[in-house]
Amino acid sequence: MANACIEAHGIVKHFGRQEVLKGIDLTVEAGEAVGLVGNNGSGKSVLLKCLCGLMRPDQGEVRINGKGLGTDIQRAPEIGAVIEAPGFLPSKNAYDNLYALWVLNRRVPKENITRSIQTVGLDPKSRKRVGKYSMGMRQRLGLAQALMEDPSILLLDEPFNGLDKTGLKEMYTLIHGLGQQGATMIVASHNPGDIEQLCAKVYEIDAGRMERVR
Amino acid sequence: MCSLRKALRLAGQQMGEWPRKPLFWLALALNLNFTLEPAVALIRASQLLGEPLQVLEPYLQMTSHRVPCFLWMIGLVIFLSDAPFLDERATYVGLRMGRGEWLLAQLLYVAAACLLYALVRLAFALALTIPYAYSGNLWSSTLWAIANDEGGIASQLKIFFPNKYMMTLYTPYAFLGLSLGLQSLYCLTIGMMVFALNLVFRKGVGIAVALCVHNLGYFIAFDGSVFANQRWSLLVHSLGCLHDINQLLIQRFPAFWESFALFLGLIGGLAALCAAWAHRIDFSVPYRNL
Repeated sequence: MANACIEAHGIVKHFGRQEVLKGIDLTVEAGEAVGLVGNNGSGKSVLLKCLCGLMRPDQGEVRINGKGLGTDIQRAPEIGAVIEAPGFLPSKNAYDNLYALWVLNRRVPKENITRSIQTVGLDPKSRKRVGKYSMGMRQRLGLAQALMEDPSILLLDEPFNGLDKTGLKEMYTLIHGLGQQGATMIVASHNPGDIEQLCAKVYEIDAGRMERVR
Repeated sequence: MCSLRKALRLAGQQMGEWPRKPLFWLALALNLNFTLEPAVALIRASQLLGEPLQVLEPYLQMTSHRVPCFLWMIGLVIFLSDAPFLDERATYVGLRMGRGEWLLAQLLYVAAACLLYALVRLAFALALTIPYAYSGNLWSSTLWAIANDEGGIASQLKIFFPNKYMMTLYTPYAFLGLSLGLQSLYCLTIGMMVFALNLVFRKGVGIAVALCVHNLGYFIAFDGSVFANQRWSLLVHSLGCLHDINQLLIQRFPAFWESFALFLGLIGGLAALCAAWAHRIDFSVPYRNL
């Protein structure tokens, strides 16, 4: 498939004796928004970690834009991700946290830090420490770190967790807007209602197996 | 391709978080506490004898005795107990760095932590001693009297410098170089043990093994002058005074070159273990929740 951004073939992952992913196959084309639904512990986060290179599958292969992850490339800079609970340095403010991540690569202009924080509706000049942020604000900041380096692929794990009604609507609009702009996305949620409007293709993961439900 | 610059940046960021880590303050307090007592004891002995003291001697004496070194090292193990330093932020770091770069950053971080831990002890001992001591490169009559146990002075004051032969071989500054080198390498060996085994197995394994090795070394050193082969104790290898001890006992005590080679070999081996494991590092929950 020439246009495939993400290809996963036969992904198997164990934790000890427990088989968490049992031969997952997935193909996501450029500009596509794909939803993953499943209960907590079904393997969504593990699959996303395998897709972005944070975790090595025990079997199978992940290819990003045609390059084998872990073979041809060690990591995929075109991927931005929010995985599990967003973790930041609690003693620093939003800008300093993103700066600490930006400085590792310096791949994009520094102005991207301010821009990404503004994009998610936070104040880049705020001196409020992230340790005092609500869960919703952390989610937004997590999304800002994912957007900061202009990724062409976004992996979002439970992006609506901990958001109030207004926050939920804003986050939804934001992610929908990213989809409209042509970003390739995989959005995982335990709540099918969260993603039914966002994603044209939806897969369900249950006990490590995946099947398409829409 | 592993970028040293990226690794240094990450290690620097982690070190910047030290003032906010309770483990850092606890380790610093233990370091200072276990430096204070032996340093003050030798300063008092000098005042009691009415003899001068060389400025490096409290440090050289405490790094030559098993008890202060045994207690002092526990602070470092506590400080590194959260190895392999994977937290929620590691996910975002992992997206931006390869496994090799991340591992290199952690090795640099462990090395910096261990070397600074050893240097803080020297700095604190010097700060305590400077007002009462001279800086010339000659051993003092105080330490000479203790080393010779003149009139049972060492037993009375419970301060020991077990190798007067050393004082005839090296000047205080030359012996400082050897002692500081051994102490730093021992710190690094223990630190690498904590990090590597916590990384490869699980949190707790590295701490347990490092403490066992350290304790075993202490017990071998405890009554080892008669029965035990002192070469089996890593702690003995870190104590400057228990080297090149004299021709009679030399079979059971290490030479300086042996100890340096042993520590460098162990550090290299542990780094190689980490490198071999690098491809299996998951920036993942199992480390975090243990």
